Amino acid sequence: MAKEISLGVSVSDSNGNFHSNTVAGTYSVDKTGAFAIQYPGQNSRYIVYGEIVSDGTELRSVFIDTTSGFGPYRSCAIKKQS
Amino acid sequence: MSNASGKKCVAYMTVLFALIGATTGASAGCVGGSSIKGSFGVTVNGPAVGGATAQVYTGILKADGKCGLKGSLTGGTFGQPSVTQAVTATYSVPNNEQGTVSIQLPGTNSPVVFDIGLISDGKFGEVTGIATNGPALATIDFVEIAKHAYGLADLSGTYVATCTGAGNDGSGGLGAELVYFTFDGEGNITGGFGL
Repeated sequence: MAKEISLGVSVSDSNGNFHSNTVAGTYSVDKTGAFAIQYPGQNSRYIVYGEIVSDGTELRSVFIDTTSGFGPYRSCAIKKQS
Repeated sequence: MSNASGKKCVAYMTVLFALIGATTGASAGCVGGSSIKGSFGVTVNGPAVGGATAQVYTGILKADGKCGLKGSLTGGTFGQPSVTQAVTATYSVPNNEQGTVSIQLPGTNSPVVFDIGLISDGKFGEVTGIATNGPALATIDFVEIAKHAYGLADLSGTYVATCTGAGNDGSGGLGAELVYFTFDGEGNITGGFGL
């Protein structure tokens, strides 16, 4: 079963897949800099865990599917664009 | 010296050595501990234990400056439920900003040892490394977290994410992607722009 876990647009994908779905979700941030994002997917609700690091313009995170228990997907290095 | 004054002397010496230990923070066998100190956002990208699928973790670990790391990590292996678990780890920096981190990842039975290099921009420390007692594909990344009481407003604007791990096809095979998304600073996040 295909799993769609992109938040936003995946413009480059090593499996040859391209995504144009638009999603909306919510996020929370605790005072330590840890954050969590939740958003709906095709078959599940997804959660992303991460941290705000450095001067605040960089994030580190992992994409995780919690609803179906299908396990973590990938880790991400994230930088602020604007 | 009388017996009573001898006992008093031993007691003073015991307190003195305890105070010296507390002041220096020295841990037996710790080398270069002060090179890594503070709270760090940590990601581990596997496979660290073996296999051909994704194994990823993230969380905050605090380095005590005495070769100890403590915190919690969330993650696991693709296809299995993720776990969040308290983690303690050790590190050593014996040689010119190079060293090792030994960490037992949540849900695993033995520690993974990473060779690490230390980086600093003068404000924030960073540690990057690769596993040495497992597939060298596994990497670890620490980036220092600023001392600040964070809130929703600290995430605002558009961000670009480069992600590696399991691919989009659901098979568990390795893949990578580039993603854009926007935080509004008030708890909402959207994506879907650019195409």
